[in-house]
Amino acid sequence: MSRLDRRGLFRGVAGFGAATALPAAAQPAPQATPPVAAPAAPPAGSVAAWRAGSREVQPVSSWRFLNAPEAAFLDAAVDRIIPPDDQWPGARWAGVVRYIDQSLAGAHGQGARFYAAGPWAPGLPTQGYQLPLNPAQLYRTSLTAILREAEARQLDFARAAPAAQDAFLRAIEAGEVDCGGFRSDVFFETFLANTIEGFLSDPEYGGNRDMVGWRMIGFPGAHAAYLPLYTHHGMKYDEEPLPMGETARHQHTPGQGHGRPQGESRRG
Amino acid sequence: MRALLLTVALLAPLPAFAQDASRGREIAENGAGDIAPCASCHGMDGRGVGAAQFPRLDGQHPSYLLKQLNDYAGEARRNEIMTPIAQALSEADRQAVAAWYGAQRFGEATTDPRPSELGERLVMQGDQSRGLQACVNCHGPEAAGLPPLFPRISGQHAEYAQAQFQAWREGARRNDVAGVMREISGRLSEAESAEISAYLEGLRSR
Amino acid sequence: MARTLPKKDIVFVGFGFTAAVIARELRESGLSIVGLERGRPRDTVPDFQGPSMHDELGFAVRHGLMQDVAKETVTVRNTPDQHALPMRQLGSFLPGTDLGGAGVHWNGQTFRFQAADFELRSHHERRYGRDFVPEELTIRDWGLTYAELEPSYDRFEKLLGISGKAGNLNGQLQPGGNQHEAPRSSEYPNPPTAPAYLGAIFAKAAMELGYSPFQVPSANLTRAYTNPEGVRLEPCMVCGYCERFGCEHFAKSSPQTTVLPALREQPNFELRTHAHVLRVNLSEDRRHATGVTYVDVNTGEELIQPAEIVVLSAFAYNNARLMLLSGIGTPYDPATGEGQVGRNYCYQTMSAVTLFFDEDVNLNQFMGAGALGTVIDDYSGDNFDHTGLGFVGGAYIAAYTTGARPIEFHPVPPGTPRWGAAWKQAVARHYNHTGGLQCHGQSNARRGNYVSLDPTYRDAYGQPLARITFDFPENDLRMSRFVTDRAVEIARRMGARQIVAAPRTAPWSVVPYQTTHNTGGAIMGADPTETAVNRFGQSWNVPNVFVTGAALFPQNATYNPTDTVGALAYWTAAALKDQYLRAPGRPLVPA
Repeated sequence: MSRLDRRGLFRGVAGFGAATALPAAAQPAPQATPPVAAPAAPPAGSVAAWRAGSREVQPVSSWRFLNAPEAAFLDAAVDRIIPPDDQWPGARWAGVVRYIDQSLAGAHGQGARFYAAGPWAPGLPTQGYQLPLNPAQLYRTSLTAILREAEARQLDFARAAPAAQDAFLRAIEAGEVDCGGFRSDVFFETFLANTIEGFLSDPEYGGNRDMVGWRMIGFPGAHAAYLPLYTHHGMKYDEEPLPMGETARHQHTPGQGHGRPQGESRRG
Repeated sequence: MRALLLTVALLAPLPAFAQDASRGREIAENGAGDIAPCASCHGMDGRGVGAAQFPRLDGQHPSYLLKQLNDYAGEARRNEIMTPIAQALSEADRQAVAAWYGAQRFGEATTDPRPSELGERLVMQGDQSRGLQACVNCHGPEAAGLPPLFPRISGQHAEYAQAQFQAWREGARRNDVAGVMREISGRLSEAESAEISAYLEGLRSR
Repeated sequence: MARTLPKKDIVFVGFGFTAAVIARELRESGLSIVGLERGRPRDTVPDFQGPSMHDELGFAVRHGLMQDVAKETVTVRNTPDQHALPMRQLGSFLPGTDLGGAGVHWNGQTFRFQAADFELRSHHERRYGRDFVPEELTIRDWGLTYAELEPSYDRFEKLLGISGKAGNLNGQLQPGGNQHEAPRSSEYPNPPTAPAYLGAIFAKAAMELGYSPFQVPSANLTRAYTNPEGVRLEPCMVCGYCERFGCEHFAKSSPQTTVLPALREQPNFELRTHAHVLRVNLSEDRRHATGVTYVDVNTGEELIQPAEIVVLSAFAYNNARLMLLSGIGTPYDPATGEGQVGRNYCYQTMSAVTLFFDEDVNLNQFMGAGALGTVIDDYSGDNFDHTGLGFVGGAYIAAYTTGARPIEFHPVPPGTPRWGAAWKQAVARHYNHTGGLQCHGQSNARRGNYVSLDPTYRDAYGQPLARITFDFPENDLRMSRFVTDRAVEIARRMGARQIVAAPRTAPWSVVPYQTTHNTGGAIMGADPTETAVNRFGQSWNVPNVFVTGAALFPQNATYNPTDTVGALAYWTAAALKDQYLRAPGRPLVPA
């Protein structure tokens, strides 16, 4: 049985580091609550500014790993995985591609904590990821094939309509693109996990701009000590989240802005 | 287990502070009954007076301030000035005052940064040999507080901070979370807590 | 050519909880002691301080404190007829590395085993008849009873400063504690945790159903505590960065916070880090260990450390691997059922029930701690009548609130798309309103589950990797279905809008995290042909080699293993001190 066939047999695809995939099906989306009025002059780059209409995306002056076509594809793709909505910016605004780029250029992408000795065999889903590619190599190999496939389909992915983008992503998810001996679902699972990481990890890692992911769910971040607060069962906790690093924080002004900045609503 | 659940059920919910702190402003400015105006020691903006050990209140979370007032009114924190004041204030007035000062934005630091290798190490990193952890673990980034319960300590008047270390050590102050500050203070020499206090006072933060 | 170092009396291979406990117990033995730890030294200050320790991606997702599988991993397969392949990245379990081992990043859930767990086979044959235990299971008695081990449990819990409430003090049931626990000789050294919200909801529902909920005994301390070694611990601040992290507050019991400070002052003790042991060196007749050979991982130099006693105190399956690499005992063969080393590898049978609550139920589970949980023990082990149920074993059902860090925890109801607008909205909707019940289940041994040396794959030092062959016995899957159904009944009373049950299913996969409760491979027992070590942890074949840790468990019980691992360390230390040293080199149990 060829590697391609073998991998295609199983639904539980092992992407690199992608261990938390959940079953998919259709379910009506919950109603979004209407946006809250924004303050007069929210700080640039904040979720509040985004809500006030700013669509400015933090520019990346130089990619560390990705090339331009890869970056353009991912930039559009992440915003379909976590799209913007009335309430919250999406993954593109959050800097998820910068997170992925830094991750691939860094130790993780280059194979840290990855057992990379052969011989190589396809294995069973229960044995996990078995490709000889580290994350950076997996992205490069897969994206080369995926961009070629888009070209063959005459799809300008970055400029395509959302429905066309989604259709192509679903094809990648289903493993329909041959990445050169393995199917594109391996890449997709890795990419999906990385996109979620970039949206929900500490801003120190390049994504989760203005802690948008944390604000969205009501996670208070890195600085934490909840004794005896945790015994106040069911309390509504809406303090401003705090990241590890100083640079990522903006305009937290105790005394005036306890909790969310004015104009922001937390879903928690 | 039933006893446990009962304990939990009895915990007071955190108060919701009214946006309008006008009653608090009134007390701060003019006092209440026989009580002197808060501002006479702490200032209307809550900057306090270092030399007199009157703490800065600006930039503190109202929940923290209310807890201190309640503790002064009870037994957990004793101070010859604050205890009678807190006892004289009604529960609603304590909340109002906490809301007023809790709404005062943290002002500029009152002193220049004071480099202290020892102070910085203990605040930011701790000391393994004595089982002392970093202050910022609970007091938040740059020790600017971890709302709603862990106070801002950066920028605080050093004289007040040093007096608190003393109060923790001697048991005049017993309202800390799980006794942690009494523990830590007991293991610091007076010289060390002075270094920490001085470093914190000059520590620039948001 | 390896350089030979001056001889020591006793050498420890791997320096976590068990080595630290035993080395400390030997403080007045007069022995010269050396601990070899392949990782680096680390301590609460500066290594575990915030805010950099509160890095979910770095530590919980990218496994910053865990064993580096680029250098050494294991190969895995479900059955002996499959081709084992390397676990190329960590997943199902997360062994620690560096000084203190997994004792640094564990949660701190500290349960004792039940008396019946130590006599598992004979207990079941006595209670239910000789035909009751399913054919597929190779469960055994330990050769050691709970009553014998109880004083050691007591000591370990006092070392750690466990926060809990006794349910059975010397046979007298105590309100508020675990009504099913085996008799304890004393109360826990610190009071129990207060329940988190989810735990309180769980406790109410469980009581309504007639169960006896209690707070999980916790190694996240509820108050400052000085342990019998004179080491001071501090109260847990409930920060939510506990499992997979080091504790910045000196509040989670670890080797660093309980015994290493005392050990460092001990004149007869020396610790060498960056010392990766390759093998135990044996005499020509393979009846006596002469010491160990290790690599200084900073220079690559090979060194020989001669010693009178060798203690294998590495992580569970690593002890079995070291025995196999060194030729200590005979390798287990699943085809014949013969052999000593590698048999009865077990795990933990985990399942979960997810509860989706209404939006006004703020669970705030980011206010968590590793062992902050409320639990019922009514379906653990043989705490309930198994007549007619068709399986051995059980599980405890717990509502844990350990942190809800968002990369790991962002639950959405079944039917939600895996990505896109609906997924995003579901994550926002459910994050703070979704909780889980965990069924933490027994793992019974079976013939085909074992540890061996992989014939193909090697570590960074050229040595064969351990090969784990494991799948869940049908017995354990039946157990998981049964207890998960009970958890669903409790969940229904907890007021959730939607309940999703996920009983354990086969095959075992190395990909999703389950637990790091790997046990067996160097099991203890009374039969020298079918166990690796005697009831004191002493090798049957090479009497000056001792083994510690969960490797000794003949099968894994319902509970988290650390309390029993620590108790066994005290038990072995006493045997060394009081018996072995009187006649060194002699078997403590005649073979």
